[in-house]
Amino acid sequence: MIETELSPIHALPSGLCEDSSGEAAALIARMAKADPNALAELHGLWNPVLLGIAYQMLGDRRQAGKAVQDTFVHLWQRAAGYDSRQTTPFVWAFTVLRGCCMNRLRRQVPRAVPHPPTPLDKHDNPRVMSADDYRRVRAALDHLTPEERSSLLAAVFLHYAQPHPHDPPLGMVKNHLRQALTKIRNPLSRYEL
Amino acid sequence: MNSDLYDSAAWRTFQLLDAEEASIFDEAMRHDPDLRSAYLEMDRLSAAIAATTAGPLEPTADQLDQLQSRLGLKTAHHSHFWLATSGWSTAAVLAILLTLHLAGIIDRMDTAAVVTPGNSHARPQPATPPADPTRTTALPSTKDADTKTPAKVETKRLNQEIEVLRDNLEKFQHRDRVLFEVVPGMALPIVMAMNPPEIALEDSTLAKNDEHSPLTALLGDALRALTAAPPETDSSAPAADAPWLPKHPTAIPIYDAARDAGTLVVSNLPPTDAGEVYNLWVTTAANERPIYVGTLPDDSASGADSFDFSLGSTMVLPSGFVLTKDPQNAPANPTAANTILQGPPVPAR
Repeated sequence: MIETELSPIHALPSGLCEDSSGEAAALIARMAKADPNALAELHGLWNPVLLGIAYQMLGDRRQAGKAVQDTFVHLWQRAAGYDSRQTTPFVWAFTVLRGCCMNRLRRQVPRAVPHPPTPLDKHDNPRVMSADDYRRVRAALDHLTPEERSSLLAAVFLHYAQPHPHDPPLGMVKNHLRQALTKIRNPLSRYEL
Repeated sequence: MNSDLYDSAAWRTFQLLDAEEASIFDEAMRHDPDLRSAYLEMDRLSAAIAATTAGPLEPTADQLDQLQSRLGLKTAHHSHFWLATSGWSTAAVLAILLTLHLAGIIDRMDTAAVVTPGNSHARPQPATPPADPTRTTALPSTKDADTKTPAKVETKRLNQEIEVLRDNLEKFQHRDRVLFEVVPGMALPIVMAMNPPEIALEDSTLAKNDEHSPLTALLGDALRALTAAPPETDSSAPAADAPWLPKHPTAIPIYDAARDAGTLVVSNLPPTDAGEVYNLWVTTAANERPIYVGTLPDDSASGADSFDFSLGSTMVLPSGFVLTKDPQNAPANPTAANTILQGPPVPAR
């Protein structure tokens, strides 16, 4: 009953990716004061996971490394303008990384074959996201059909940003995405409630 | 709040909107807090899914150093590596140092000849005395034996250095030969020339180390093509002051299979008609049919330019590349009708 009354937006996982320890926010605050040690610490904290995400988006290790470097440059230069009320630190870094990857995707010829399957192995990093968040997202993804899940992951990793002749029609992609987002809404909401 | 709002936020987040739709969305988001909230929540969901599903990768050791150097937080120490980047550069630097050293020795010998009346090989000296007083005091004594001995020692040492340099050059040449030698089962950087199908050329795949088409020649052509056609000029035709450039379209794919990283350098590519694009294909020994690589950006058909590409796997070893001109979003398999460039050229039957 509660689930049906939830509007789609409110059903989304507002608690995901919270910086519960405040560690990342503190580092960004120090970066805003031009503390190079804070940049080094944040780099150590996020670089591997951002590199993994960038690789999934770009399909090229070298390009991924450059995109992550661009991201940290942006974070360093914009740290003073970071507003924790707008978004959490990791989500901010993710959106910056996505923009950097998009810039690189626009400049490069699309890849020949689809990206390798995205692994769903456990590689939780509690300093990136809480263990509960990892569990919630995995549980939500488990509710999806293979087509819905692959469509959602492909969308998250920008695979549809470059039209590819082997991609399914856009309408079909949007249908899969719509179904996927509707399905993951409920499991994530249950945990929220 | 409705599902349309939610969908729009999702399509914007996943880059499924075209430029105009994205612009409209961004403008609407500035005035609609619900839409902005939906977009931020989609960002949060995307970040969570990405962090959960993308396996972390081990960064290279010097990534932080590079970042700090880029931000000016740390002095770059390129001098530690630049000599190692090329044996030829090392040899060149050694040669320069040797030349300077030799010039210094000759200068000293000349100066010694001036102050040594008995030296029959003395050259005319400038009227001005040496500027450095310490250099004069360091000159050998006026006795012949004292003058000739250091010169002989220096000459001998110089000969030894030349021998060492020659050995080094041979080592570097050997290393380069090994680098470009075909080794079965080993992925090598692949450089090949692509030309129009009607132009018969010798096989120019560099992997075969053909002496008639050296790597330097191909890369030289690519670099010339890039530098000879500045973007602000009409570069659809070869530059008039670049007679070495071919008149026909050419392309040079450079692909490193070990890293799955490639660059396509094109030149003289004619502009496409409206609704047409250039598509890049790769052929492999394992597949009879070419595999689609991607579409060149719309602005590619102008003179010379380069584009990065990857084949999605380090296991793909290209045997050739094909560039076709097709209707947008409808690439057809390469045929004689739509093939613009191919490489390496098919041997004459």
